[in-house]
Amino acid sequence: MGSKSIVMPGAAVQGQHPRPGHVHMENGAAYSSVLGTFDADNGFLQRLEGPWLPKQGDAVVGVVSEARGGSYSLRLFHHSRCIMPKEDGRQQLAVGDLVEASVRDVERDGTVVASQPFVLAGGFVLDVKPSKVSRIMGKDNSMADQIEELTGVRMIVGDNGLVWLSSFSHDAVDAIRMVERNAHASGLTDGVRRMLLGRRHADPLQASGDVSTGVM
Amino acid sequence: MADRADKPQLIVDGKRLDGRKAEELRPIRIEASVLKNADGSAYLEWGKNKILAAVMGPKPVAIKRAADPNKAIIKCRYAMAPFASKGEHKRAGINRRAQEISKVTKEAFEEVVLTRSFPNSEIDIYVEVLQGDGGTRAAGITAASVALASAGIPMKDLIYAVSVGKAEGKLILDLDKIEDNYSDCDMPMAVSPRNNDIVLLQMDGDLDRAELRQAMEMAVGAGKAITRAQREALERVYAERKVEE
Repeated sequence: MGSKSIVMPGAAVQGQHPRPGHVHMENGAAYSSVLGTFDADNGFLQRLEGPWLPKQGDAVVGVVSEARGGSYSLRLFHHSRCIMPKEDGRQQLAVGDLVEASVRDVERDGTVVASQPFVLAGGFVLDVKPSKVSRIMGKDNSMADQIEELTGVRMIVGDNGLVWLSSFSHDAVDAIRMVERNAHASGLTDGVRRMLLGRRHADPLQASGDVSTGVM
Repeated sequence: MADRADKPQLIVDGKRLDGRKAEELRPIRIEASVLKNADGSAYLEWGKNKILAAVMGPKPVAIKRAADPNKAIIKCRYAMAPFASKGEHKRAGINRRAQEISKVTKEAFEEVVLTRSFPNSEIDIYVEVLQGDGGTRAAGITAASVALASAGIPMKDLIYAVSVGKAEGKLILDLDKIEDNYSDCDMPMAVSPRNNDIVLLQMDGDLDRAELRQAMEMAVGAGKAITRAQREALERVYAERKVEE
């Protein structure tokens, strides 16, 4: 932990395996290309801000924006367009449906190809910074599991920065915002637990959060 | 340029009109991530300059035919607020001067932003001068650089800019408004500090070869303090490592 430092774009990062995409190679030396934290012990560079960088296997939450003969378009609130080919005519989606899907491929021009849509009925959508999604999920889903367990709300986190909640809950929203604000801090899982447990005995009217209706 | 006939003496008793030494910068204060709805932002005070820079994107390209399927395009809008100066620049907003500065700013950032990470998208840089006192294009680039970093846009380096000029036969660093108007030369320069690559160099007036070399060295020397201000502004945002509830 002590060897972790904040790095700027252009800072030299020595380490065996910095994550590709966040480094810029020049004359065999690696330089950070982003504002991030760098752990000199394991050579891990974690960015602090930035847009979603789509990759295969990512989970996304989006809105069906167009239905054509063979495919759908999904609105992911990202600069890339997203298409979802219809798979053997099984699922029938309508424009406006909120879906969870997974990224099957990312084409050279940036187009995201999604598959395996699952309609999210009802609920509430929150937009978060895509760079904070990994923290909202937590290691092995630990943070998301904890929030679900303590608030009773089911949660689906899209790597594109949209989070679906099965129902509106101040506690869940505040917990997610707290993670987002403190993503660079340590001891966050315990902090969120303390906050949520503390709420159980507090006056419910005092619990107010920064609620943002990202979509719809 | 103002009228030469009433040119004031810019260096009096070895000091500049605002009391600075030849190679002294004006104080610089930067705050990063000041705007909630922009993807990245910075507020900068550099002497009497007050500048707000914001970054939006990457986002879908507004004009479809301008899109590049291989990389992001960068757009830049530099504008002076109507109340930013005492009317020397005539009409406020996007006039010819603002267009030129927008263009050179954009080209400076095209050298360092890793645009290939975001095909078919655009990254918009906005530089809003709230109060101008000379050297706003350099200050704008310095602020926009922090805004881009705070937006998480991948870049080769965190660039900075500063101007060097010549008055009374002497090279001076970081010209303010009156020096800008009456000096014999004004040379804004933007630099990538990691390898001292020059990403913007303009010159109004003239310098000889030896002076040019010395002027560049002055700019690069001053760069350390400017880079430090940029870095500290970004670090301050994440300085609080304890969990606040």
